[in-house]
Order: sequence, then structure tokens, then C-alpha cells
Amino acid sequence: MISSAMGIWNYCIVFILMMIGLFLVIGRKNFLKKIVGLTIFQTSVFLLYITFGKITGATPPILNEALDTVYSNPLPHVLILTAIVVGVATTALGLSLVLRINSEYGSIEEDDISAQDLVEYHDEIETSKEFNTKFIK
Amino acid sequence: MHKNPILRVCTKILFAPIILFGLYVQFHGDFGPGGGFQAGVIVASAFILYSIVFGLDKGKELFPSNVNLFLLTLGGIIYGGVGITSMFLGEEFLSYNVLGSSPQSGQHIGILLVEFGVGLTVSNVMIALFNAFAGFKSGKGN
Amino acid sequence: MISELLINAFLVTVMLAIAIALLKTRTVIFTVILTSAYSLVAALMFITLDAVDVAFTEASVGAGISTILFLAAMAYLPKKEEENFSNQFLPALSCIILGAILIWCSYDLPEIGLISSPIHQHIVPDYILGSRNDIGIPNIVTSVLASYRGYDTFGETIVVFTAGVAVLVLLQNNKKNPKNTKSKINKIDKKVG
Repeated sequence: MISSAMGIWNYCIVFILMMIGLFLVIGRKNFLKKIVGLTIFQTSVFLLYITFGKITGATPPILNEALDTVYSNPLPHVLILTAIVVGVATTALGLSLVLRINSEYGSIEEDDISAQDLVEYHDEIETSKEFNTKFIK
Repeated sequence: MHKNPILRVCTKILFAPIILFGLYVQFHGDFGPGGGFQAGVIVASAFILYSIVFGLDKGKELFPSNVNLFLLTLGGIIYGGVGITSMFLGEEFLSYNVLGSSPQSGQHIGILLVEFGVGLTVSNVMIALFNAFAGFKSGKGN
Repeated sequence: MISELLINAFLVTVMLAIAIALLKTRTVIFTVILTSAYSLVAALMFITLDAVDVAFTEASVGAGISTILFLAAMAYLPKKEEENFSNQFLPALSCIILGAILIWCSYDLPEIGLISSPIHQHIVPDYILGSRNDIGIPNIVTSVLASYRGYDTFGETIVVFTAGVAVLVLLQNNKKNPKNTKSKINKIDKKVG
């Protein structure tokens, strides 16, 4: 009874964490916050996988001499182990993109950047119009 | 570079044990928790600590960038090479049974080599990432 | 048994508290430190769920290296997040609806810790037996990682390698910055005028 209640609690929190991560990605305008949101989403998915692999009363999946020991499921562990390392590599890639954006635009807020893009686009249209008119003359 | 003597002395004392622990995790991964991924990160953390305390230039003197890039690719090549070796010995890609005298010893050799390749790649990628981030010069106003 | 579950529930609640604090904070350094703490609590969580290898990786990678990378990147970025509450309603609403649907669906998920749930039936008994008899390595995670799923790990290694090379390419100091289109057009403009 208690274990089932705890199980539901675990799943609930994992899904809430997932949604907090998703909200940080789609709701916030700061790029660094978006990457942090991705990290949180990622970790909650890891937690979900590892939770599936748990067996009550089992030992960690390292073999011992006794033949009748119950081991927790090693397959999710393998999948998540590699996913964590790949996750930090992709996080670093995202951070380097943010650094490049900051050095080009001087800001990492999404609104600022789209406003600058809009201004630049209009300027470009204006200059190309002037250019055309001069050429035609 | 930090002027604080405690930090500098502690870094010098800790540097070797961290690498030793990394090697332990690397080669004891068959029997306990650990393996190439974790060991790579631990070894990289020793070099990153050195770079943080003594400065990026000293860190690059200790571990030059071209060696770093060479080892970065070497890890992947070791992993792929083990797979191709087993192909040449008449089995499928990455089946280690033929590498040793008996299937079990072949598996042991294969797993050891593969984990070593993983550790090499991961540690050098982490060092390269830190060097790239720390040595980045903001190009604002160019 | 019960104490294990209680510790589990406590740690999960701590993670929730850290995530809510992350939602509230606007300072970059607090964000980075809270992310590190989140990873550390997640590592403790993995230990209570019997995943020692994963806990090791999460503690060294998630709480260690990733924090260092965030701090190194933070040095070049603005220290404060701008506050604009303009249109957060729609994302929040969609997240709440999606979360409610997911929690509703979670009642169909198998209970935690049951040995009869489908994930434990298919291939894992073979792996456990094979790790003892065919491979002879006590750590099942290592034997599955390097031998049974060697292709998978090869791909992951190449992904890490590629991400590293991509970061090196992106952050290289290119001295000859190509001038942007606007100044190019200005140059042509000057020549014509």
C-alpha cells in the first residue's frame, strides 16, 4: 500500500520536473535558462528510466557468488550512463552557440536578438533599394 | 594564476591522486562501478584543476593542444580498430571472442581495450571543451 | 524497505524544491549552482534506486564537469536575466495541461519495484546469465555496455567526439572575421557613389 503510494509520488514528481524543464525551455527568453531547462528535462527522463529498472529488495547489478540473488535491471543503467555523457557534450555545444550569439549580438535575450534581426533586415532592404535606384540612374 | 599558496600546494598534492583514482576507476570497471566514461571525466578534472589554479597557459604547457587533439581522435580509432581487428580475425564487427585464446579471455581483452578508447576520447574531449571555453576571446565590436 | 522508499520520496521532493527555486531565480550564478545541486541530488537518488554506475557518472559529469563548463561560459555572459513577464501565460498553460495528461497516464505505469513488470522479462535475464557464464565480468553494466551493446557505445563515443570538435570549431578565434552584409553593401555603395 505504502509502496504503491510512493511509486505514484515518484512518477508524479518526475513528470512535474519534466514540465518545469519544458517551461524553462519554451517560456523563458534567456538562452542560458533554456539550456538549464534542457538539463533539467534530461535528468528527469533519466530518473524515469532508472525508476523503471528498480526491483524492491534487489541488489545493484554487480554479480556476487550466490546464484539466487535478484539484481536490479542493468539495461536502463547502460542506456542512461551513455546518455549522461552525451548530454554534457551537447550541453557544451549549446553553451558555445550561446557564447557565439552573445559575441555577435551583445545579448542572449531572445527578444533583443529578434529585434536586432528585424532592424538589420529593414536596413538591408533600405540599402538595397538605394543601391538599385543609384544603379538605375 | 592564483597567488594563494594553499591553493597551489593543494593542487600539486592532489594532482597525482586524482589521476591515480581515474586509472583505478578505468581498469577496475569490470569488477565494481566505473568504466571509461567516468574515468575519462575524472582524469580530465585533474588537468582542469591544474588549468584553473595555474592559468590556461601553464595548463597548455603541461598538456599541449596538439597532443590533446591527437589523443581525442586516437580514442575513437582504438574503439573502431578493435572492431575491425575482430572482423579480420573472422568474426563480426566488435565481437571479441576471437581476440584471446578462449572466448572469455577474448571478451576481457576486448572490453579492456574498448573502455580504454572510451576513456581516452571522453577525457580529451572534456579537456578540449574546457580549454575552448576558457580561451574564448569575445569578438564583440569586430 | 519502507525506509528506502521514504529516503527516495524525500530526495525526489528536494529535487522538486530545487527546480522550483530555479524557476524563481534570475541571477545567473544561482542558476548554475542550483543546477549543480540538482545533479548531485539526482546522483543520490540513483544510488537509492540501485544504479551505482549511473550515480557515479551523474556525480562526476553532471555535478562536476557540467558546472565547470557553465561557470566558464558564464564569465562571458550577462550576469542577470532580464525580467519580462510578457507572454508566459500560454507556455505555462500548455505545460500544466501536458503535465496533467502525463500524470493521469502514469496510473497505467507498472508499480515501482515489482519483479513481474514487463521491463524485467524480456532480455535482461539473458544478460545476467551471460555476464556470468560467457563474459565472466562481475559488473553487468560494463559487460552490457562494452560487449552486448558495443555498437551503441561506439556511436555514443563518436557523438561525444563530434560534439567536442564542433565546440572547438565554434569557439576558435577567427581573426579574419567576415564583415557582415550591411558593411559590404555600404562599401559597394561608396564605390558606386
